Amino acid sequence: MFKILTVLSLVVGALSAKCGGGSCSSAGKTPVRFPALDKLLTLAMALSLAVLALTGFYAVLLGHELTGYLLVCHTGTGGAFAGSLALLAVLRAEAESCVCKCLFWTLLIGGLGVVLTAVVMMQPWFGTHGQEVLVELHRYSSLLAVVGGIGCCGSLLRAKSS
Amino acid sequence: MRASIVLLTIGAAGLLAAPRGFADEPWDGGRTVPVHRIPLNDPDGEGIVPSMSSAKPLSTSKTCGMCHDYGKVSAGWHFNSSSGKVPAGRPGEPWVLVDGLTGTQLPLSYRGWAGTWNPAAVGLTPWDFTKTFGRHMPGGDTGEPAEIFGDAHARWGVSGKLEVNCLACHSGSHAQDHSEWARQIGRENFAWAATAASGLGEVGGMASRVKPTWTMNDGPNPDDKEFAVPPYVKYAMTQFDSKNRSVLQIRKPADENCLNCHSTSPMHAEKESVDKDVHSRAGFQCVDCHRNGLNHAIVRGYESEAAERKEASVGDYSCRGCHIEDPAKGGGRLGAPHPKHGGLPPVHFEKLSCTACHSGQMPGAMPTDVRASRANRLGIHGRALWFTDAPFIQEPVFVKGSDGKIAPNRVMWPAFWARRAAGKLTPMRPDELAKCAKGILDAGQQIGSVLKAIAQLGDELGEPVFIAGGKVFHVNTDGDVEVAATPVPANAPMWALEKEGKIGPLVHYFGFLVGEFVGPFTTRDLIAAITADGIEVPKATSEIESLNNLLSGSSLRSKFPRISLSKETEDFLKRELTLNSEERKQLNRLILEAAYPLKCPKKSLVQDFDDAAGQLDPAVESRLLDLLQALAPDDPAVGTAALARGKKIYTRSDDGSLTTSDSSENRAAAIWGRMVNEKFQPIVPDFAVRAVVETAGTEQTFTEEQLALMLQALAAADKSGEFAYVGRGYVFALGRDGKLAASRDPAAEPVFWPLAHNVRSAVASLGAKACTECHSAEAAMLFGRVIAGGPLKTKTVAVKTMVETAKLDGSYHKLFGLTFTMRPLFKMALWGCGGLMAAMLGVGALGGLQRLARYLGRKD
Repeated sequence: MFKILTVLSLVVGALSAKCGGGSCSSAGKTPVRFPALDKLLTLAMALSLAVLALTGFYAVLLGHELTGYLLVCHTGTGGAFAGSLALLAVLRAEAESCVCKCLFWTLLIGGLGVVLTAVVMMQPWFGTHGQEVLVELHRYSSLLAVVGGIGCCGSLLRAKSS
Repeated sequence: MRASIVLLTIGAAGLLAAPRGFADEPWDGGRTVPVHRIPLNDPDGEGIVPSMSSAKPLSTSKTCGMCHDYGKVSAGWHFNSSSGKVPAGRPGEPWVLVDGLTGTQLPLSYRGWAGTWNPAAVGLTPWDFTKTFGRHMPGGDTGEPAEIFGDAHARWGVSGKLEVNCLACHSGSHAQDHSEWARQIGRENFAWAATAASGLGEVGGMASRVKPTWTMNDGPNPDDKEFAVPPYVKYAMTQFDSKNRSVLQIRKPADENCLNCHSTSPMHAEKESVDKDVHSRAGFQCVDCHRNGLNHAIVRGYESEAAERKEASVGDYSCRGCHIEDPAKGGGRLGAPHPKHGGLPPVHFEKLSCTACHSGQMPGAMPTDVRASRANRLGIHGRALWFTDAPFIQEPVFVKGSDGKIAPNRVMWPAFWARRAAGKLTPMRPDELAKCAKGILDAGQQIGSVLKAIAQLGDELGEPVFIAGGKVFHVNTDGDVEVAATPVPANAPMWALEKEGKIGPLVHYFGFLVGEFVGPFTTRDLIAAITADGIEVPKATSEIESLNNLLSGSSLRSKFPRISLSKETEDFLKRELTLNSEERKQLNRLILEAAYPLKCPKKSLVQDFDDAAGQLDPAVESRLLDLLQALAPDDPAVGTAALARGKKIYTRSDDGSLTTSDSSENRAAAIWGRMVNEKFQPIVPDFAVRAVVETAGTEQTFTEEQLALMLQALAAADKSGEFAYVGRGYVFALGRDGKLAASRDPAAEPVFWPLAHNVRSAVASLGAKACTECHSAEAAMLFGRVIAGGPLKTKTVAVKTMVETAKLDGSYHKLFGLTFTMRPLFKMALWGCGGLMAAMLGVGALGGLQRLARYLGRKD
């Protein structure tokens, strides 16, 4: 089920990038504050999301466990993703057009879910069952973040190229 | 009343008419253990009449087997290792063939567990195995071989078979005595062991001393009532009723019975400091989890057991079976607490067994040395003390099991002498090595035997000790030596006497030198010692005169109540009134020497040993002859005892007189030795002294020097053979240059077996305090070092880290551990980011609401 949803979310993300490209370039969008920083953060977020998706979905899609160096990479990159996304949220709160904002908000909601489930798992609050639920929540939040992330980044790239 | 009698009669008739083996019938639902007031049967199936002097021992197969299917029971887990028909299951503790002299600790198992040797492959027959390990066997198995005539040196006809001892586990009697069982096994009284251990009767005699043609039916030996007394039993009449029935106190096996063979505790720990298993503390008994039916296929309790045995119900009694609520498996039994495992990522349950965190000793930088009942021969009490240090077992060592999970194990590094053929090592039994080992590996025994010989001269001298390398060695009850806690200044090896905490060289016993006592003893000291004992010393013109006056009175015994006098002194005393002045002085000296042996200034009391004189002082000569006789080896081929001093060598001739011969060497110090082929050799070779000094106070028993000598001796004894010693994780052999060389070999690899007890509770589990207990660059669980233990003292020692034994990537776990140093900061950062995102989402949501409100306002 999760494998199907993963593929589906990648497709939806790609489609939304295609659809959202025009709206992101449409007139009336609020100019971005600190454009250089915004670019840097966007790049960091996009790259970290790509690494997270690769390491996370690689394990899920190919039936491997997320352990070893892959896990260290996933966890470390997760920090970069959380930081860049949080700062982007501050910078871009008012800077996007409607579609693009929706995609960004999807990314933000998914990212928040990913971050919170990750950090709560590190706390001694939930037992085995709770941990298993958190892992599932982490996975499904990541799908949302991937849809939003691909859509948002794709839209930006398309807007820039057009 | 009449009805009752009728009912009782019918009941009794019913019982009598019950077929044999009725206990095999389906359980009737009664939850009590019936009273076992039953007649006992002997191995012939005849009822035992306890009052008969010729009564034979109890046979469990003929007594218990009357109602319980003995064949079914004796196929159970405890009794089927040698059958070869039962799946081996998860590795368990092997039997360990231990021999202190040859430094052997060889893991054996008929079950083919990894790292163990099949007893048959090393030449151990069922007879040998039973005799060696029967002390901790519950009978049956190799004790009841189907074929008893195939082994020429076996004595089954004399010993009888070692039947399954039902009472070893099921007896609730306080008289049930495991030590007595072990004693009877040692005496080869196999068929009598159960009777003796149960306390039903007293067993005497020793089958091991009886001629091999004797059988139980032959009865007592009329020709020998002292030594070769055949086994016999005298039943305790109070344990039988008038119908010769006995009430056997049968119950479900109690923990005490299990622990006779299944105890494990840290080496050198005090009994009161060892905690019980958390389940025992909660009131569980061993058999509450380790259950079995009549077939005695006991539940071992590991997770994959149910699948291996294809019995789902067996899974109920594993950790998960009780603690993880899974109704399909009947889990959550007996109110077992469901573990919370708060904050523990579920991946741990895929990688680790429950025992990894909850069982055994907490991991340290190095595993803990432990002793186990069967391997280290624990729990056998009596006059003789067992050597329980070997084999060297450690826990916990984390090892990946066949189920892919990491579990704590116990580890033992094999140590044995081996014959190498076609590159393959085959262990040699200690009895094959005994001849070569004598004189090489028995360094402690060599010194001990000299000390024992000196001790024969009398207690009044003090305790004989050997001093070397700054250590003082005493002889122990096994004839070996033990090092004293208090060191002495290092000097040349010396035989000495210790009394009242003071040590003087043995040569002073003969008055060789004046002033060589340890401490400045003078006649004044002697008088002070006598005065301190409350004895009044008469005043005279000189101190020696005072002493002579003291002893000239008639009340010697009242003055020295604890004095023990030699025969010579007693002879003098008998004719005290007729003694001349020289004899009187001699008597006085003897008395004072007896009373204060280490305080007597020899010059005043005994004449010097003058090796330049043609004739020794008679007292000196007498003592010297006594000691030379005591030191004479049992085997004349080894040589004769001798003393070398100056340019003289003193020996005792066959007629008991002292023989003095000249030596080419001038020895300043007196040296005790042996004349072998007319050459003087020290009584204990230098290498043996070095070995004892080097190994004293350590776990090791022999040195590389002895190892090389032993390999040479083996090669000399069998020129076609190639020999090696396996120990400390290496194989040691002599190279072509004659030097010792070490190499790695699979035969030297350690043997592991998983542990499950003692179970620790959640708060005491590994990782309960912090993740860094396992996830850090120094975590003992991953980076603890397992150093190969063993009897050989060497610097060539194999070391493994636990990541190696657990087959993990050490570099990765070091890196992963390092990430935990940053983890608190990481968590704070994530909380910050999450908070920021949530805040922005909140702001966005408020903005959305505001727009919605505006939109709705415009619409209105």
